[in-house]
Amino acid sequence: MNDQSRRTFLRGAGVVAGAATATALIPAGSALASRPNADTSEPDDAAQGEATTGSLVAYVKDARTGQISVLSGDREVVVTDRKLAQKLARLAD
Amino acid sequence: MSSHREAPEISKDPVADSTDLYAFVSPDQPDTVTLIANYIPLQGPDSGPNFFEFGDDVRYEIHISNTGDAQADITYQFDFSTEVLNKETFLYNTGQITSLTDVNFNRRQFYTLTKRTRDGRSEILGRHLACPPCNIGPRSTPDYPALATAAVHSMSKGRRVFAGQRADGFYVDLGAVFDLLDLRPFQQLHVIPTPAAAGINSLAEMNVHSIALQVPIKELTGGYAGSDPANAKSVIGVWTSASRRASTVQESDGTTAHGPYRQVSRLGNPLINEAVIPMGHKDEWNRVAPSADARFLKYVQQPEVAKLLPGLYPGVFPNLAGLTADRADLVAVLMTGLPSGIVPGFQNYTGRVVADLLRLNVAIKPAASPNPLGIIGGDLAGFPNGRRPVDDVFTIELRAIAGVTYPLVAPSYTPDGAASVVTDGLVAPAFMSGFPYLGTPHGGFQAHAA
Repeated sequence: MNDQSRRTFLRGAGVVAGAATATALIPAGSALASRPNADTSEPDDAAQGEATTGSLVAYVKDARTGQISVLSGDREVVVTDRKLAQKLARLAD
Repeated sequence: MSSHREAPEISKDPVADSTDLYAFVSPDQPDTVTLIANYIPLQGPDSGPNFFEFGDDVRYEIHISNTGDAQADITYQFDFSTEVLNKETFLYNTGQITSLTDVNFNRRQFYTLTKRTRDGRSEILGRHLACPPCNIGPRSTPDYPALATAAVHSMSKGRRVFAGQRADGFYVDLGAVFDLLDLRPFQQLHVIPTPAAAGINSLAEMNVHSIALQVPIKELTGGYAGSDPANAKSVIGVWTSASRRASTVQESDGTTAHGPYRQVSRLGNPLINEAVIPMGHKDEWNRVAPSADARFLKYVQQPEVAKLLPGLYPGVFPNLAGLTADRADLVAVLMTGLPSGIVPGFQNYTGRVVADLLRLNVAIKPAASPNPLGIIGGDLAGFPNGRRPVDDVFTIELRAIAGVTYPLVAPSYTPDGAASVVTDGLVAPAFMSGFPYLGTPHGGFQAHAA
């Protein structure tokens, strides 16, 4: 998964979440994945580019610090995004 | 056992559980090394309808370090896939299997073998390589040796590979050993004595799944032919690992896996995670690379078994009871290799990095009459110089821990008389004289017939 598709996912990850530790599974490239969303600490430079197809996993390792591991194919990208992590955590409450 | 179900987590994941690792100069092809990694322990032969198979979702690897830093310079990677001809039957085989392409061979496995090197290069050595079926019985697999032979694949540069079921070659009296270390010939001297009895090989009728690879020596040594045992280039460090994807999701229509492979099992020397690493660290041991083994060094320096023996056998191991110094001998044997000058004519030192590697000096020629006690039996071609199937690694390591190797680093130390005779009372099972060396797997129909 390239960085652009990762950011595309992160912008649209208003989906399943656990509490302090949460896992999100969505079909990347879906409406959810492409929905504009400013809730990310990543620069908004990824409006273009295709998202990864198929499923991927976002694992909120620590909702407090905002560490999120995005697993797609055989890759892992770890980002820190407290807003997104806390949003996911709230969805699980 | 050597490493069968040796840690809490991996004991629940047998498909990824490494059980034994062998590395030796091939006795019938002495310009090659044979590497064998066994997985999936304690296979009862009569295990239908779902006979044992490798995990399509597991990455199996054999690693070689040849530059002295316990990092993988070469990795052989095995990725399996399963194909089913007829999904509308519950049968593994729909009739006799007389060849690997027989239409009656309903559930088949294939694998891709990839060689990766430290510089990032990758080479596929073989694709869609066929595994043999499990040994089901005389009606289903009437000529099992022929099926196994057909699953030995020759590849470029003289390499050969096999992946499939074999008879478990490890031999140990599990029932006795884990009954408070009941050992022969001192059963009557145990703190809870029992009458003398013959040893029982707990694995005598069990199968495993083997990944066996035979490659030219030069491929493993960076081009060195291995002519001088004293040359550091003659020594390679070997370990195997199994890895699973970082995330697995159970969905209503199946399972999906995501992310990079993460190590869940590894094995270098036999019995280390089994009987040296304490329970609270066994899972951690399986997750980390050998190069991170310094954190476990204290358990090798002060092995628990050495402390148990004098208590379990009062008066039998008085010198061992007084041996409180760190066991530099065991560190050398298991974690760094033996430097030159310790055992005449031998070394398998890989440098100062502490790591559980099976260290093989490829310049030591195969023994005409192997001694199962390896180096402590005067046979430099045996464990801990690599490991051959015939090597009685349980007895060797038990005697080493009991003190017989301590004089290598402390000549004034006198081992207890018991240290050089203690054993679990077994002899090696029969092995094949050629690749893949481990014996024909026990047949399902024949199981429990004795």
